[in-house]
Amino acid sequence: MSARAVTVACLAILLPSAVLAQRAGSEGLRTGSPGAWLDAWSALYPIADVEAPEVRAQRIRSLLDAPVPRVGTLWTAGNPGALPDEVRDARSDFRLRYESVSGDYRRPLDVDERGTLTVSGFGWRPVGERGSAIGRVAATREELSGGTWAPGIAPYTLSPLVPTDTTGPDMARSGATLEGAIGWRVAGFGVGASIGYDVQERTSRRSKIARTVRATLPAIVVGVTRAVPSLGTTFGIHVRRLDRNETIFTSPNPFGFRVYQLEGLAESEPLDFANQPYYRRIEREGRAVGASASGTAFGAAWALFAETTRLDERQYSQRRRNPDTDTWESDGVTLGASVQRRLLGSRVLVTGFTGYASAEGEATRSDLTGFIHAAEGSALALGAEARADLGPRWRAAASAAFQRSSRIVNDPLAELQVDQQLFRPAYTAEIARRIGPRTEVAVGYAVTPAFANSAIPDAAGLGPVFQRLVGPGLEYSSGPALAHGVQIALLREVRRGSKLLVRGRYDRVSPDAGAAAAFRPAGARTGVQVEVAVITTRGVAVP
Amino acid sequence: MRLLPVALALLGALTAADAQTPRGARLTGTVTDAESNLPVPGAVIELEGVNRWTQTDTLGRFALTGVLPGPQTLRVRRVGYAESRVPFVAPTEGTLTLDVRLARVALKLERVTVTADPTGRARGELGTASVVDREAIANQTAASLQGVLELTPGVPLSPPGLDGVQQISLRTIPVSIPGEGSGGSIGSFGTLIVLDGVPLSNNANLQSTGPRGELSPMTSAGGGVDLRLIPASTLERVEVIRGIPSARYGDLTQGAIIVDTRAGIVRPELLGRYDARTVELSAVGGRQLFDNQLGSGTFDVARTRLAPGFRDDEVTRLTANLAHRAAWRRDPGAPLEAPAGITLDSRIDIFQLLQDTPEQPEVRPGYASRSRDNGVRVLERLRIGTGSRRLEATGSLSLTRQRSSVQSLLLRGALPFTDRITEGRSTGKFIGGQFLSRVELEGEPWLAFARVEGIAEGALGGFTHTARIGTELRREWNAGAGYQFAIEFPPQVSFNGVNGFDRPRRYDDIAPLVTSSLYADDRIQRTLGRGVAVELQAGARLDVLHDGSTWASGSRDAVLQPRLNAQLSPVSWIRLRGGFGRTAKTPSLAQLSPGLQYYDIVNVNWYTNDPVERLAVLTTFIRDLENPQLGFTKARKAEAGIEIDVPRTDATVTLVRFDDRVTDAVSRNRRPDFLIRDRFQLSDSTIGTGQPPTIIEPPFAQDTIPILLDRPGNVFDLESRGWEVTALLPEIAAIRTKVELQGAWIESSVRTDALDFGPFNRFSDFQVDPARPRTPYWEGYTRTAQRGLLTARVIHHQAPLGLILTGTFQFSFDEEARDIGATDTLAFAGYLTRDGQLVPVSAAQRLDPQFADLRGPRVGLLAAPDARADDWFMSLQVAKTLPYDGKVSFYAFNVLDRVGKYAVAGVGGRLHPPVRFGLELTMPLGGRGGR
Repeated sequence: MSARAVTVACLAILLPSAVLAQRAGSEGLRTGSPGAWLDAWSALYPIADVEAPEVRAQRIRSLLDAPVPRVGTLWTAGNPGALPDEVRDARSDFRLRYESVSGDYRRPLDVDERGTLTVSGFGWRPVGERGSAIGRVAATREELSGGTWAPGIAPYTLSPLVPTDTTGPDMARSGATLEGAIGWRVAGFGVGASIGYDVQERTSRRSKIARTVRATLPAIVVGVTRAVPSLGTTFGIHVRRLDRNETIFTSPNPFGFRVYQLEGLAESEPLDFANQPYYRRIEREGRAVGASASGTAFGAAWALFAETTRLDERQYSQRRRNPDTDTWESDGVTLGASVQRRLLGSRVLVTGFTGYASAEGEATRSDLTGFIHAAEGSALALGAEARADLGPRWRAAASAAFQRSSRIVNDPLAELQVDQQLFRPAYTAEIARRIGPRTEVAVGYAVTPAFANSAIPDAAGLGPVFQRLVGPGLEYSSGPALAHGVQIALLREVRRGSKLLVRGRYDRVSPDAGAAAAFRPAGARTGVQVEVAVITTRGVAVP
Repeated sequence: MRLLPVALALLGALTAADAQTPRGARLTGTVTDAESNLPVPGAVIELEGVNRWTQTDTLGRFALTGVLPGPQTLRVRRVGYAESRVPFVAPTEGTLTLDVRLARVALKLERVTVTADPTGRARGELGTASVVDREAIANQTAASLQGVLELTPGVPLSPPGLDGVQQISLRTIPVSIPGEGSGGSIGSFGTLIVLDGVPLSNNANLQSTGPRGELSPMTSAGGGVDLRLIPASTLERVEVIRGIPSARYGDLTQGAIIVDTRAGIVRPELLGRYDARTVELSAVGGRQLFDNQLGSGTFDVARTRLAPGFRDDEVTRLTANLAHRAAWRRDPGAPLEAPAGITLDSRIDIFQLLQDTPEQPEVRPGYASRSRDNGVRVLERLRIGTGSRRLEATGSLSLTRQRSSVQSLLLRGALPFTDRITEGRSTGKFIGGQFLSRVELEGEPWLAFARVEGIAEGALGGFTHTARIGTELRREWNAGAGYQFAIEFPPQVSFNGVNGFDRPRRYDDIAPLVTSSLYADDRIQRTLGRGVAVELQAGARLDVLHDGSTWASGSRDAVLQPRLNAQLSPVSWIRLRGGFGRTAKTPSLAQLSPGLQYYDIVNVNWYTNDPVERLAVLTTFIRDLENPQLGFTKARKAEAGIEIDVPRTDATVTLVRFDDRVTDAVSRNRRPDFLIRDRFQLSDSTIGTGQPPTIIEPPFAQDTIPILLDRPGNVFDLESRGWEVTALLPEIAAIRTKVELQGAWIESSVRTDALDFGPFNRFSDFQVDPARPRTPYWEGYTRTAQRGLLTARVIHHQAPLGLILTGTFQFSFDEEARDIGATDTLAFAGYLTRDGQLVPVSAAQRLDPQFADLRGPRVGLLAAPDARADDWFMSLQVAKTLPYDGKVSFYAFNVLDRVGKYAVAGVGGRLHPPVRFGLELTMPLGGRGGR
């Protein structure tokens, strides 16, 4: 036994969230991709924010290890009150994943190279006769090399307030994500709460200039559901709260460094620091209220939800009461729906999904009256996934999704506007074959062409800060690019109900060579991912 | 010494008395497996703190008779299962049935305690205590004993790790008087730590330069034992006696912490912890070796990076422990872990703690410091006797090899210098410029400890007695090479023609600290009928500080310390408690032998461009700072309280009022003196001759230079009083959540009799300026600080999921420090003349024009109370079972990363430590221990 225990213990020592990263890249859509249902219950989804994600191929939720897609108030709307009705089986998986990403085709505030080791556990199960629980824990150790201008955790949110500096040290990041939801059936109601917590600490490595960044992200969702049998429908309401505290601290040093506190499209004034520290505190507070419904009709399970969202962000640099504060405030809505039906004598399971998220906000600066920047972002996704049994040995899955994102920016300080319409259709296909009584192998492919219809400022006529830190990001997202990924996975049943999965994936994204622009990043960006997982299941899934 | 015959007579009487069966209740029950519901045979059933045990039969049944009334804890152990502790309140008579379920992993037990037991008692003790059991230790995010102690009232939460020196002060909050130490260090110095039955000591730790020099390494010298040396992962049980310890425990003023490491039959397990700063790996395991032997071991290695991203400073710790027990003539079937028959326990501990601050050439060139303690401790304990009469002999020897160093680039002007080590005048030379000054402290503190103790239990006069008598011998010395540095590159910063250069000092010629002790006490219990029960523990201890190097040498100081604890239960669910006692603490070796102070008076300072024409003449004076009158620090401790087990609930509420007064604490008692400086005329002082001038004897004039001697004295008082409250509220079954509250409001005040001569630069200006005939002085004053600390733990337990979620909220309130002492320009008490005379000036005279030069504001005192804003922060722990009986825990200190409230007018701000988080994994290693 000892070898197993020693191995697990050693992994714990080497632990190094991708969980947050996955959701951070979701553009606020909770139903925008084939596997999104697995994370819908998470309390950590962004609120009133539409992030601008990197271009990348759709993640393939492998046939071998991803559970059969589900639709419902929990799995679509994320209302934990539905847990006892929608979780009556048990599943758990433990994963160890290493991912390496590098390449020049990136935005200026993205990290140049990163290597990420993640250990995670995820599971759900009934608790007693009237309750169910679901939870996830992930720990991450990440090495960030090549420097980045942005010390903050998420530099490409809708908020224009982004601290950047010239120190650019290599960084090491430790992070942990902890999420859990539990629900009970009480007097005909489903009552549940989902709590999430993400924490990160980044520290500089091998650098003369010391920088630390830490961020905490506590979140909670409370939901109530009520089934109305006469309508064949379950109705639910939920409230969400998500905070984020982020602290950036660069220690005093004799070498000096320069800070640019980006405020949108305007040319920000440089702040020079020498023998004095730089401190920036970012506090976000998000709230949402939503309603949901789910049921069955015409042999199909369906679910839909709607949320109104609100986000308040404060940033300040002084450790004192009532400091001078820059703000960002946004309001938005999130909508989603999914539907699932079996076809062709139950051999094919089709799940359709659609999602919409929008946010609109304004930023203010402590020394000015009126807003300094207004932005409006939205994302709309529509797609479907099909899984089919092709006989005793073969299985196949395919998905197609179309996503349109829009960002409209009005920056009165810079007297500039941006109007971007981004299109990213995503296609995946995977085929799996049983190669023995207990072994199965799968190969998958994903491709995402990105193109846009945008009106962005011409960086050539603007200042150096725009040219270096802002313009390339706009040209990156506005230019055509192609991302594709290949995945191979091997699954072996080690004993009844327990499986071991080994998976590798290669991703590459590169811009369309024929669409060069002066400040647009060139080259390519590649990623390699290796994952080992142990999956256990018990009971029967409720479709 | 008259106590001895009295105590012996008492023991004899108990021995001679009939072994009457003590009255009390009968306790019965069944032990079953939580998963299979099958009976568990062979489980050891033990009443904690009382030498009573039995085992379950083949049907899992057990019975214990004569269980005394009041709160008790039933401890149930079986190889392969997690230990279960079941608190219960025993009735005065009748039968009580307690069925116990055992689980492989404690988290799956319906009832698992993850907080300190608020009504627990240390074994053999009646004073107020917090008892932290194995499961609570395992659930507590702690890298060292310091983290475990956060489960006791009044102890602030701190991030888990090995940061900084960790010392604990029970029932005291840090309050300092500038230049005179702090209440915190006095409190920690006077808090006894007992590890596996043997006291730890910091008395012979000399790893400090004291008040000398500007280079000083960070070590635990001058305070209590550094708790980083005790890893939490290897602890079995911690008893924190906050009240009055019994006479068995000496060398303390604050309280005692009794620590047991894991030993005996322990299922082997491995623990790993990772957070952004601390990595720890720990292993523990133990099994039965032969029919009559047990062997076990623990191992722990941990590293904390103190400022990742900023500096490469780190602390690493390595500890290992081997324990062995051999038992003979025990009762048939008796578990080896029960102390019966003849048992011989042997232990060996090795430990290392390294704190390293490497040089950062680009940021702070030249500066580096390093402090390493590594040591070994061996222990032998022989127990002979039955359950009711025992003789116990304990011997222990420990050696710590301490190496501390600190270096820095110093920049000096040209200074006349001498390295003379005897008094007298000599020709010196000039040193100066920029140089790398480095100080090495090489200490080797030894502690030899022996104790012989007899215990007898029985009934006499209608009372159940547990009587003890014992004697202790201690010898502590330091065999290190001492305080070393290159004498021409001295660390002394304050050279001003008066203080002079320091000299290296060896530690191995310092006289040892030798003490002997005798103690006796008796704990009596009686049920008076109608549910009324009374319990009393009374005893006395005599500590003798010897003036020689052996126990046969004479007495330098002696203190008799009566101690009394009493408890009355008018009804079974209420206990009224009180205690009073005196305690004493030996001075440290550094205080007993502070060493010599060198003063190098410059008679001639003739500095020319040509080095061969320079002349430096200095007279060296030596003052021995030893104070032959120095004796024990004494304390008087008193407490009264009430414990209520709320009927028909599991709720328990306790309230304690305490009043501790430490008197005659040791600190620097700064007294004035003076030196005579000869002034010489020079002959042939023409520049360019290629020769230095010569002095013309005799001196043409003399003047006096005032100095201050930092001689240790019993001059310091520390008073602490306050309230402690704990409340363990019943579980809210619907949400499987319970709340535990603990809090303390403490007011501590430090008062010194030492005179205050103002800040150092003011006095040194007076020293070097012959035109200034006098300088003012002030009398001692009192600084008072108060703080309220309330900690609430919200514990959500899902036994079916093997999940415990603990949210810990700490509220700080009513925090304030203030000085009692005038700070205005008329506050001075008198003046010091250049020949070291103290001349008092009455308050009425201080306005006279002749004293105008003395009227200046007093520096260092708080002109107004220094208050802190009320504030809170929260920490989180989540523990979950894993397959194969493993456990994973996530923890986040200051989980919301609250910065702390900012200062506003009249109220200071707070700065909470930043969020710190990590994971901890515990996995069993194969077997289940045992044979």
